[in-house]
Amino acid sequence: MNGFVRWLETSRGSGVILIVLLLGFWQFSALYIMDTPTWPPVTRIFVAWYENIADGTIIKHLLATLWRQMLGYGLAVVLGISLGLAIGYYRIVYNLLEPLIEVFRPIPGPAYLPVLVLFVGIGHEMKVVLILVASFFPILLNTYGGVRSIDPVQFDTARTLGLTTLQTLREVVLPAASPQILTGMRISLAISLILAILSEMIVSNDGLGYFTLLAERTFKVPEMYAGIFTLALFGYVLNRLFLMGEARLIRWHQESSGRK
Amino acid sequence: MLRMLQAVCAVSVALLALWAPSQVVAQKPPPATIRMVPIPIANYTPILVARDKGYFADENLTVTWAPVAQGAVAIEAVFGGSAEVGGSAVFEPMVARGNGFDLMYIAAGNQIRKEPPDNSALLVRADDNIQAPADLAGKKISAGLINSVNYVHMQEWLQKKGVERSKIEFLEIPFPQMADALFQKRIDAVWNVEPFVTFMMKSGKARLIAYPYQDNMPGMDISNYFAKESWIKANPDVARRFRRAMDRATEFIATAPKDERDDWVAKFTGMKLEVVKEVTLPVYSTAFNVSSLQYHLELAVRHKLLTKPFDVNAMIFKP
Repeated sequence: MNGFVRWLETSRGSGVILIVLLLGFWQFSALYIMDTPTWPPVTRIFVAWYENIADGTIIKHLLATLWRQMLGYGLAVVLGISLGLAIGYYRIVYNLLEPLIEVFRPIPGPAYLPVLVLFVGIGHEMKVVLILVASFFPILLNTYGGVRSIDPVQFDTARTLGLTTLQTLREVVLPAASPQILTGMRISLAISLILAILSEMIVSNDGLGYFTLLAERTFKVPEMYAGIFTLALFGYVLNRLFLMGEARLIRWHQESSGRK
Repeated sequence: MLRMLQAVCAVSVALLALWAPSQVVAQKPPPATIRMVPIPIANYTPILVARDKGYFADENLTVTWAPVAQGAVAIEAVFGGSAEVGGSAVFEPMVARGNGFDLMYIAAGNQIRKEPPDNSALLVRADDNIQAPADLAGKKISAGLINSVNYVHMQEWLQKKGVERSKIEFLEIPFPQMADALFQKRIDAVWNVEPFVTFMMKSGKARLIAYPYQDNMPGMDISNYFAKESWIKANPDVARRFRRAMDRATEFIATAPKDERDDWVAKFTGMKLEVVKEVTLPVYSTAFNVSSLQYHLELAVRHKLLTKPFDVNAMIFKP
């Protein structure tokens, strides 16, 4: 009994077993309780999933989503960190831009869509810009928040040691603010996927959002669930990769703060 | 005297017997409520007619409706049980049925006009050099939603005209946004519907290339009313009464003078009356064109929306 409790405490196996049990219940309910095309058996979904992967359909849509998400997100990271450092480091820039940011920050990402359709069109550019705009603010806010929370003693020390502005940014500001910058980047990663899927569902010819919605609209329900499963897996893998990268970049912080 | 009394009694009984069945007929059927989910376009105007002219009331039906943006949404609402009857293009319920959704057509609705003009058209920019279908090769086209009835018929039309599908890029653009997309040169041709066809043509910036539906099959069924087969089987009398009321309303609209019909369409769709007067309306019909439904089914199979055909007659409700 103690061994079992220890296993529950130390292993994530129980979580995996729960997922398998839920899928099993889904299968059972679809076969014996709810005879409806909207709730197909899991095995039928896996068959549709396999067929759409084997013929390259899902791979094609996955790559389309990944490409546009990463482009929008990458641009948001570059712009968000650059501007965030400037706002956090220079009081003048902070005073100038902070009120403007406070005005734009509460606008939910999807609200930019109608404006972007009018000004950027309905092509890839619109989706990339939408992802960029929505992912930008969490990175920006966390970056300048991180910079502004650095202990002034660290800046005094840098000055005493005669570091240039560039050296101070590289040696003091970036390392000290990086845990918060990475938090912003992680929040934005999830937002970028949401916006990529949303924009694909509204106007697109490819991408996982498009694939899933098209399957729903043409009543290919197993394919629709296959699209959702792919999205779940895609989001999970992205997050895991991010956490792995984060662990390498700020190991010192995670060790000092007790995170494993 | 007795004989006379007997005769009077016999006549009274006979009269009573004659009167009684008519009393039964005059009795109202049990009340029933039907929730509908039509797309708010001219095609479904008979719903308003049936309510306001009392055709539903004559059948003791209380009918309410909530507009939906797409046929697929109507199907989900009906299948999910939040409405009993939906209105959509004939294509979507057919594809849904082929994928296991037990839907049936409960009443006929509209057909494509047999002669030009049609109430949907393929348009290009007036100053563009696209003159014939062959010129569409290598261009960007929108026919509304991918895999919708328009999209599938567009593929068919292109094939008939000898244009290779692979040479054309299809974009999903909602009908109201098609004009901007075309005039801003984001796209080269659009298959739009009324009232946008009229707006675009009147702007002078659009030119008509074809009426693809009429080229494919003039007079075909294009939209109608559907319900769940299980609901129809559980409520055959309500379904019959609904069909009767809708048929009366459809017949009324089909034969009404233009001014009167336009009034009803304006009231149902919310379009301005002067706009309705300009647009081309579909044909309103109470009869199913079964061979055209069969044609739709063949297209659905050919374009891989269905894996195999089925008997289209089985999905038409026959009261």
